[in-house]
Amino acid sequence: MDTSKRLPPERENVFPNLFANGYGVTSDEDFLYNCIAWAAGEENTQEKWDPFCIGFGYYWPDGLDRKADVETFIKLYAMEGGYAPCDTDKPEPGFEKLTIYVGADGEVTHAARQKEDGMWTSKLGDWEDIGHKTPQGVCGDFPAYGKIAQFVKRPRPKRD
Amino acid sequence: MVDQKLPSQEPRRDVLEWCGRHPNSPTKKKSDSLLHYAPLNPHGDMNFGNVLFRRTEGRACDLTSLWLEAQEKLAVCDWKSSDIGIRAGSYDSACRIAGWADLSLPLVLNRASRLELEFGQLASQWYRETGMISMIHKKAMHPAYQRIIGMGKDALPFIFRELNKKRGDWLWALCAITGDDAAKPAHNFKEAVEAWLRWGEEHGYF
Repeated sequence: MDTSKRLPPERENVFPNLFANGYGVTSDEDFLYNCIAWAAGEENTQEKWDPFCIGFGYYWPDGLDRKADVETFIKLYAMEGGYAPCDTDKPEPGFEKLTIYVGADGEVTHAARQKEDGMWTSKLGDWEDIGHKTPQGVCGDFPAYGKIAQFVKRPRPKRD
Repeated sequence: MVDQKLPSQEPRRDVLEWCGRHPNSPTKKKSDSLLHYAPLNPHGDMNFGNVLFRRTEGRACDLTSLWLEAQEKLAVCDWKSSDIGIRAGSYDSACRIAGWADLSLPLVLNRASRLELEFGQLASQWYRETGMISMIHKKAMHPAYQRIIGMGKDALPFIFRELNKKRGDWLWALCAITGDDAAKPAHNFKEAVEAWLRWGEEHGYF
């Protein structure tokens, strides 16, 4: 992971553990997709997934409760990608893992995906994508993403 | 009070027109200047306090966009419509300040300019304080976003301008203000943004 490209200081400071845990910026800011969609697949760069919205353009699967708790997001990733809960972030050959984060109010704040090399990729809201060495890198009190609530995994899909 | 004569290279007229005053008019200094405006030096740089702005769009520079940029970069400015002063300056070919004049004009803004500045301030605050958040239902609850919705149809031209520029999370506000939805159920976010931009064009917001 290239750690030479860093966030602007005011953004890096939002995540108190990020620099110490190791990270690098992997793409410019982009307003067209969010972390929830990005975690489920790097092809999801024109989608925003959100359980609550006014109007169209934001995706949420039919039949899934419109809630922002962890249980609902576990179901979301099961429905959309076949992920199942697991206990650890430790890399497992042949599996792709996600981390689901919750804030102090118990609502999901963020999701990150583990890449094949064991690093994690996160879309930081409207900001840049980053690669980070540990899922804890984006933890912290608001406006960071709170704490880790759940890991999920699935067999790693083949990507070009 | 004009304490120095303007240099021969006049600031752009759009700034002066924006002030509604000629720079040589007698003025009273109302407050410290918050905004420095200067024609570009040969390197295309512009000083704002101790922050250097690099302008990339040539010499054209209108005060509103400069102010919005300043807010985004500094994130510390308290804006009061009666407190804005302008420091106009010019540079010589060697990048030395050739002269400047503290205009410190109390701006008398027309309604459109006042709305634009109000929107710009709210939008900057919203971008700054919610940019790290992914969930629109959280972002839309931010007080600045709610105030933009509260501006009603007056905000639409500025929302469409932002949507066209950044493709950000403005669809919630557009639905709330217009009571309409230009997007279709099958649209992904990008397609929904494009549908709203077409709607804005059809309704004369561009």
